[in-house]
Amino acid sequence: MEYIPLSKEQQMRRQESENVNKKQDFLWYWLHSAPGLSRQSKQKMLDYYGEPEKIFTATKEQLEPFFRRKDYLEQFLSSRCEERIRKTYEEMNRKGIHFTHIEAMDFPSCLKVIPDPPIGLFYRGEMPSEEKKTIAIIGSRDCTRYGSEMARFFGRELARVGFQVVSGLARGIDGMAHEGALEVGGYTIGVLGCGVDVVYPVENYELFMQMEKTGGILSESMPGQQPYSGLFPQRNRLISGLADGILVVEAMEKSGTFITVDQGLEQGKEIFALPGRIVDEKSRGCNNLIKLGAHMVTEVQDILEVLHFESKDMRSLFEITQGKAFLHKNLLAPNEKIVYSCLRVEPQYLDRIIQKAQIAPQEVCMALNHLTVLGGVVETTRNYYALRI
Amino acid sequence: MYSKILSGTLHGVEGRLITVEADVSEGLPVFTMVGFLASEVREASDRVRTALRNSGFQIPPKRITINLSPADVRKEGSFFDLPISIALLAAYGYIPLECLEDILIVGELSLNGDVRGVSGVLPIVDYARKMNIKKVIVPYGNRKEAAVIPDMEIYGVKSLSAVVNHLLDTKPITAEMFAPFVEEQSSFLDDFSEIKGQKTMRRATEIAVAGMHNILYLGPPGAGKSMVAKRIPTIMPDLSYGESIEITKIYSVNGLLDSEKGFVTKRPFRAPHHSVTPNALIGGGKIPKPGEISLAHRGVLFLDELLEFPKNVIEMMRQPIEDGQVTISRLQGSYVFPCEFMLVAAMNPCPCGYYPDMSKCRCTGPQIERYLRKLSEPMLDRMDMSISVQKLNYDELYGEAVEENSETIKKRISVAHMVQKRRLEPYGVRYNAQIPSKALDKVCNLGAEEKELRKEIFEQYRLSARGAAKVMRVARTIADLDHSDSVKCRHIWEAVSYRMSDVYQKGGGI
Repeated sequence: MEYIPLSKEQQMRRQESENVNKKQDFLWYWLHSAPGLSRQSKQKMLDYYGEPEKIFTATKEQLEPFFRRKDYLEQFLSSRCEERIRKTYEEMNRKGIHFTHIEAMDFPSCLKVIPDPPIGLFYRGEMPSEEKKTIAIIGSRDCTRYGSEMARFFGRELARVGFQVVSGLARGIDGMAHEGALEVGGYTIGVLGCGVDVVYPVENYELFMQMEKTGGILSESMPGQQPYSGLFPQRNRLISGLADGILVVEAMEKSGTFITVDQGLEQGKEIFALPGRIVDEKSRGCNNLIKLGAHMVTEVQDILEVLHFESKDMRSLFEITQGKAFLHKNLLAPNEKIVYSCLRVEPQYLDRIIQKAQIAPQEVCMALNHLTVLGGVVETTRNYYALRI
Repeated sequence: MYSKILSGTLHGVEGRLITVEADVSEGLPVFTMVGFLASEVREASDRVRTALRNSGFQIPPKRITINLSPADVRKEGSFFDLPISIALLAAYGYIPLECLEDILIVGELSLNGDVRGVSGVLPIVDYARKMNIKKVIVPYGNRKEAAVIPDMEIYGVKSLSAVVNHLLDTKPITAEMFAPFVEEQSSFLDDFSEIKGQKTMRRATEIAVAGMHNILYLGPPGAGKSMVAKRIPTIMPDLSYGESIEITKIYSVNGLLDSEKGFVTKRPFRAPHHSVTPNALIGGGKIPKPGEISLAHRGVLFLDELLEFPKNVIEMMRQPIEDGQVTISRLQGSYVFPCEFMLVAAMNPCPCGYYPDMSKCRCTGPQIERYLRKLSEPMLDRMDMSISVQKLNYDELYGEAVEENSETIKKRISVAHMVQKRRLEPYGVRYNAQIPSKALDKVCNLGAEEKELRKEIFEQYRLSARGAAKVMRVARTIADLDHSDSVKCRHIWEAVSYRMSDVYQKGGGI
């Protein structure tokens, strides 16, 4: 096809439309951040006026019915200072924080259809792709080693077959799921209950930086917002909203995880749960979910089937926990094989392993450290070793 | 008439000679003492006068002047009662002056003329020997500690009149026999065979002692951390004569010696409670005295519940650990106390103590983090090894297994110490823990394969330069226990298990 350069007039028109778009973005940003009004009321206002520009230019009398208190109205009106808004907006862009709103191109369409959708979102990195399947992997923050290892396993294996992994970038299960996805270079997005420039919890700092580069960080809160408990239920509806299915790895009987599950059900998402031992406090929530009709997951395949996804590159969990893949890949010394066979998913103290293996302590230490470097074993706490799945 | 006699005082853990001069002349009856005296020395005048009278000596009222020289050294302690009274008696003509030549006297007097024991006799006697003074009169209770110095004539005396009788040769006292140092089998009540199971802890402890590496135990209450620490002196090689003298001097200054025994023959084990004050730990006071770290010299300093120690107290130990001695400066001078010890510390892994046993541990992640934040990073830098300890299970606790006793372990460690001493002589250090980093490569004698492994470990465990050096030092000790001239891969692999970097990993509970 022949390339026809744009005429000057066309160029100008394009520039103009871009400017209009930019102006629109900026007004949406204002509306999202304006004080004195809840999200629901803003939504009502939007339904009435159609677009933020009209709200921006509306008179005080016109806006009065939306406010119950006068001082809130005053706050709202005084925020309509174009110069100030522009300054903070540009400042934010400079920091690499993007803003998107419900009518923008980059706004995830799956979030438009949830009940009570957000007006605007802040994000860093990339937004999830619409074509790919997305799985939310969630669970408690104080998880067991079994839980964290499973979260990492499912995060990794699902990312490997092309799933996008969404979670809350919290301590425990969330972080491990992200880590798993990053291990194989998959896309993963964290939805925060604070501003996208606030790292909470601090121990996830490295993960946060990595995800900003190769995945995404998303939040409805203003940049700089510190986390507080009220923000987390709102963020949970975004996690479930972004996902096609929700996998609960480990949850106590009464856990914040169920807020996400409830919202997921409301949004019509598939719920998956990992079974645990019935005496295990940390698995009781999952087992209850299964009892109530959630899909029970014992293999990655279980998830793929429900979500109508086919992949040939699938590894069986059983094979991996037996360590066959690892043993196949690495040529181990006899002692190392014995030590490896004594390990479990749960961490064990060095003395227990020495006892089981019936080998001299120094030999066991050597074997364990070698296996750690090879990647088959992980030292969870000093001198406690566990199988890496 | 004028007379003079030798006595001694302490400066830190070293002795000093003091000359006591007495002069009796006509004039108003006064008793003056001069020579930069501390108040306890000044009080001697009353004690001496009364003790002399009660011992049956007539002191006619005359002008008495006592001078303690050199005048620029502050005289402290209770060494001078006895020498002052003897000098006075000589000045009054009770004792001929010739009798006092080349004789050193120390001792405190009670009012009835009895001679009381004093602390710090050994350093003075040691110094006297260096100054070629052979005859020393000491209180009876101190005769044993004084007799550990060879080629000396030590006279233990019980009363003032006994001293006079001895000096006049009317009733001479036999000199105390020199008690030669015997490398006796130090008899400890505790033994390593009492520790059941705990293979990791036994092995790590053996390595730590073999290279004198400082070690940190992490574990729940009741796992046996203190039990092992207490038994570490039992597997250390027996004290040599020189080491024993060093320790005995410190204990002598602090008045901690047994009056019936000369030498300190057991390696010290000091376990100060965590309420210890900085002065008690490091040494100090108006007249500086050795603290716990010096009392642990050539032995073990055990800090149980490391995190409970106030941070400032812990930080104060940093420099002494590095230098092997502590310098305490006061207006009247600075004092140097030796403190080469093995530091053993124990702590719980979380506030409740049970992490990572999640069936018991009720701490949340942030709680544990806050708890561990109390650990001082510079202090961790001084530790070379760390291991976790877990509680025993029933089989281990009540099983029939016979564990190695201290004697067997001690033999292996003694050999390792000997090897190290020989190898490290050119570098001016004695143990592997002290190998200077620039000498490390040469001492470890790594092959190509080992160097490759070192790189791999450096990257895998994200070691710092310091952390890597520590691993190599520990590997050197493991190789020594293995009778290997060079450090091999297997030694490095094992050393990694005891590394100090990332002491606390967040990997989830059981």
